[in-house]
Amino acid sequence: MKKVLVIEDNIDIRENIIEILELEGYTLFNADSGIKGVDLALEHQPDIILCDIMMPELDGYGVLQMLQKHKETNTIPFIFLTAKAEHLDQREAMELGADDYLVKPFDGLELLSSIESQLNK
Amino acid sequence: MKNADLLYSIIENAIDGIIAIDEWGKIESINPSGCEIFGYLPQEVIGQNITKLMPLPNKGGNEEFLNNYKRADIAKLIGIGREVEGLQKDGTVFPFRLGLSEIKNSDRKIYTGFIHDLTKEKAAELKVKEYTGDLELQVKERTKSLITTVKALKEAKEEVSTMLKKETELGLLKSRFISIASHEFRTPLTSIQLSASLIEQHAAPFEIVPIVKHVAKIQNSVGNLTNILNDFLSLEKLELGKEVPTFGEFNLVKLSEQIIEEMQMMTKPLQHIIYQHTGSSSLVKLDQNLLKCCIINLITNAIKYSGENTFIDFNTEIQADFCRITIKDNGIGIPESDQKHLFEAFFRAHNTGTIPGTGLGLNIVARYIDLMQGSVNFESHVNQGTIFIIRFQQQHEESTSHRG
Repeated sequence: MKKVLVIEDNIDIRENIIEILELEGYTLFNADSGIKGVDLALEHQPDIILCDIMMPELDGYGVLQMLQKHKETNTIPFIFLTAKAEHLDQREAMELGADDYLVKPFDGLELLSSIESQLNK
Repeated sequence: MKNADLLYSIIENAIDGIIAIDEWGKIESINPSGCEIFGYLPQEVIGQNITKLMPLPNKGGNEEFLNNYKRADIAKLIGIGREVEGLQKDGTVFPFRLGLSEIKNSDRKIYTGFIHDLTKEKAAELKVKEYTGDLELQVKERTKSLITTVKALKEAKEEVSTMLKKETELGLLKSRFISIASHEFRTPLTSIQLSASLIEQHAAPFEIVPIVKHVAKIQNSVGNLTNILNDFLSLEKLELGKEVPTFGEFNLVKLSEQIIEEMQMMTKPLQHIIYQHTGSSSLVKLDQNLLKCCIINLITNAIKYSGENTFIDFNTEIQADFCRITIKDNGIGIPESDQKHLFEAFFRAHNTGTIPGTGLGLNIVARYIDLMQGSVNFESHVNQGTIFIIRFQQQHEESTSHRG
């Protein structure tokens, strides 16, 4: 089954995402900080990574940059979960090398379709 | 006696009055100028005491002066110009400068007084004094009023700066609030939205109508709240002047089709968006994100303000020199009295009733289109519908040369 890594510091969002994806049959790994997320990504090499942007210490941009430095992780589809709804931030995220972004608040369908379209590439 | 003649002539023609008196003050001689100054004929004064030519308060003084002089032989008084007062025949007291010299003539002394009338000078001096006083008074008054003005200005400046400070603080507070609202509100909204999705999924097998209904309501409300946050964020960015359009060439037809695909999911039952494009080209040079926001905003309004089972006409047209986008609905329309306010921030037409909205959407649309140097107009009739027309002047040199 496809492995998904969720990096999100908000516990409610994190748990909801996990539940929605597990119901669809995905195997889930999760981290509540950027640093733990990078460790888990390197350890398990998931099929796709969902990552929040605004996190203390290591933010989403930092996580993406670190994962791009490792050949084990630099090809994994990377989706930003962002609370920033401005175009510039979205453009910025894509230019950094993210494959997609979901602007909060998103619903279950948006989450699943974004993941599926990345995995089917 | 040529010398004596000359001397006599000099004395007779001198402009200053010249009076000679003896030790006791008796006038021995007076020249014509002296007579003229005091207003006497020579015979009226010669042989008289000099006090005849002095006003009362001075009489004593001068006599005393002479006495003093006689007694004490105060050499320094001789030759020094003194300003004293004289008495004319008609009683007029006038100022003059007296130059006194002593002539020792064998056994007796004669005093000669040179009288230089100061009436004119004094009058001029007085005038200057008056004028100076007047000027000083004016300057004082002006200074006073200046000080008052400066004080008032200072106070006004302080007031303005206090107000400015307050306004800046308020602006900062507003920015902070909007930042919190748009970023922090999104986190709980996301868990609400995802929980709603989960409830929907968990409840699906049981087909419980109220659950389905309420989940839809939650999702709908989250959507409304998100739209409000987005409007606030857009407005804030516009207010701060941070919204700078980036022009780039893109395919308007492709964008339109993409928008319709997204919007078709939001339509009411049997509500259809009909899209049509006119013109051989489909390329425009505008800010794609801003234009997309505008079109989505106008189509959202068309959906919101028209009923089920209606058509929404969405047309784009690209010609050699312009690009035109129209969105037409058969909805509730805009009352004529409200039409002139339609693009104002927070304004909502009076017939919108309970349909949710911030009154910011069209304000943002107008400002985005303005940023792209376009124009937006509308025609509307209550209960018949509204058409919005966006227009941009376009130069197609680049795109035509590319295709050519």
